[in-house]
Amino acid sequence: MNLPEADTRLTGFLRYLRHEGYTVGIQETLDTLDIMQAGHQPDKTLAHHILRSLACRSREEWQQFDQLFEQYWFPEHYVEKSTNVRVARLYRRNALAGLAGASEEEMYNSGKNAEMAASGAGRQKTISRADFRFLNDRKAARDIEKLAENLATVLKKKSRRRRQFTRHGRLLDIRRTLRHSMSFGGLPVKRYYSQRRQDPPHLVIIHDVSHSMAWNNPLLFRFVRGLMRTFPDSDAFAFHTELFCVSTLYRERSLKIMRERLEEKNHLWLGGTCIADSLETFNRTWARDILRRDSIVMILSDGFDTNDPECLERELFQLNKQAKKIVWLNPMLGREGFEFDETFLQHTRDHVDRFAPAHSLESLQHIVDYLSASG
Amino acid sequence: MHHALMKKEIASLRSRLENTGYIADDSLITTLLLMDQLGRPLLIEGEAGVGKTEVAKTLAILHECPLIRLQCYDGLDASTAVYEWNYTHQLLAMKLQENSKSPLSDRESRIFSEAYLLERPLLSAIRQPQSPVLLIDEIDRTDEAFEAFLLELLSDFQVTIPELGTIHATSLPRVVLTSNATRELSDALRRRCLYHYLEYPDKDKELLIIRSRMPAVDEHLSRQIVDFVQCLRKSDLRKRPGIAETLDWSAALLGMGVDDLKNNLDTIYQTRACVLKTRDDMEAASKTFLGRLLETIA
Repeated sequence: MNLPEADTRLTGFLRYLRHEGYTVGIQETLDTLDIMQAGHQPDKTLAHHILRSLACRSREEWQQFDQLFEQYWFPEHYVEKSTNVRVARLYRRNALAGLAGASEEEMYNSGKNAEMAASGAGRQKTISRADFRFLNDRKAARDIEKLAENLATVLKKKSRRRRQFTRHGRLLDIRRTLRHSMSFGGLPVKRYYSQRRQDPPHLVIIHDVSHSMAWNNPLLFRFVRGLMRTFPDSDAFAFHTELFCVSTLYRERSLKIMRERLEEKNHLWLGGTCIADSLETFNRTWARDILRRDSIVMILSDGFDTNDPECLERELFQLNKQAKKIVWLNPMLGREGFEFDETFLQHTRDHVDRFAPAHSLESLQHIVDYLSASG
Repeated sequence: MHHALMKKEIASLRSRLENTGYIADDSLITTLLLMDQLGRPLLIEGEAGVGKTEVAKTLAILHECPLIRLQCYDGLDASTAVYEWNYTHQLLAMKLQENSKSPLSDRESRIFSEAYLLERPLLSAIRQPQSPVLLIDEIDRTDEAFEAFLLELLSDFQVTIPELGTIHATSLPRVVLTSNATRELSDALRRRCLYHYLEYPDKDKELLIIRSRMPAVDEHLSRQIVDFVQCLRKSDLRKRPGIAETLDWSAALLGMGVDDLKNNLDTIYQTRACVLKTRDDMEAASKTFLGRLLETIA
């Protein structure tokens, strides 16, 4: 059956949205065709409102829709913007990654040359194993960032599970006991108890935002953001050559605002890395107020440091005395061919409880498992 | 629906919404119409205080039907949201039936019958004689398990109770879900809903809202309030003021007899708690800062 031209263009638009990462399935297509019946040319505004409500599923999609709508239906008005839409989007993505100083063209080429690391297996599995640095598929990158943020909530759930009802304990769960007494004619033969709620882990995140970390940061940002929003007591610090507190910024609801404020205030991504100096600032200024005996300090850094390893060792030693655990997440660790610098390892291994990779979603999952087991 | 007809419907719905005191833009009105036409739930996201919950309340007034509200929170489960057995009455009934000669299966079926079922908001919503508006507020505060549980209700409008079977809706509720986006909702839930993102209102819309909700505030002051709040929203604040804050502030200024914001910096400073909701913001909003904002407005 040949569809009338209006419908063909409409389904074309829905296909285009799907290509751009929107979840437009059969039901959405049918609903759209049903509402935008052939033969009645809707005006631009009405069509825009209808299609946006039917096709969008999130704030990001909602905000991007206007651009895609214009681009598809009125390309003549869109000449200038559309010439480098892809680059613009890459730029937006990299704005978080923070390739400050790199030209748009460079970014486009670097994006074009990179390929998604794995293929063939299920999409979820594939993207969760893919190295974020080489993830060029925009939808996959967005998915993986979203999943990274969700991982943090999994951690909360794992710690919440410890509140499960048990057959032994001190606090009787009256509701459940009564519920189960039905099968014994109302006699509370089986008693149920509820377990004491455990406090969620106190996380202190120290995040390297120097130039060498730029590629990994969209994934790690979302992960840290998820942690910060899930555990309101946690604290976050970012550092390159200086350390600054970013707890409030990382809890910002809007990703866009968070990104803008971070970049505008802290001049990220520009310089080198002084891990030891930054840890020294933390130990001197913040540690006394923030660290608790149950604190888990999470350092996210590739370990490339311009300070002396001896200084780093001294600061890690200080930190280790006050915190319960130090976990070092290194995005380089999971990559082929990467090996720790022997001197670095010599000076740090006694003070860090665990070095773990953080280059993919799967590696972050392992961290969540580790944290929930040790929390 | 013919688009000319739809335009007419939009205009009619706009005026009906305005009569209830809710000022909506065409985009939201179109979404509300689609919600009715397709019979799909509506998921509204947006910052706190932009009027998400108010949409459901207004719909209930508009359709003259009950509003059933489920306020979500961390730890919400099916027994609080859907149904619960009345255990105390069941126990009493069992005791009373102890000497009864009726077969055990009969007694059991009586115990697990409608008489002992306590309806919670979701079950209640699908068993109303007239379609109600079901508001599932702040869905992002629940966990994923509950979200998954909602899928059956939102797609088929039915609830399964193991002891009773599946209960189908007697009337289809208009479902409005709101979220502050404190966490990502699942794709499955999003796909079952129409989506609308409510932004902070622009100047004109906010002015209309004040004029409609607080006719006692004169136009000049309303304009100044709107300009000031709009400037405040652009500032570097932890929590930007929503419409509710603007209305509260307008009421406070009206109560203090202010008719012009200019030359009333002290009053603005004293009443800043109506629009600023965190300690950081209160500290940041010094008199100098507020004075600078005041200079920018007409």
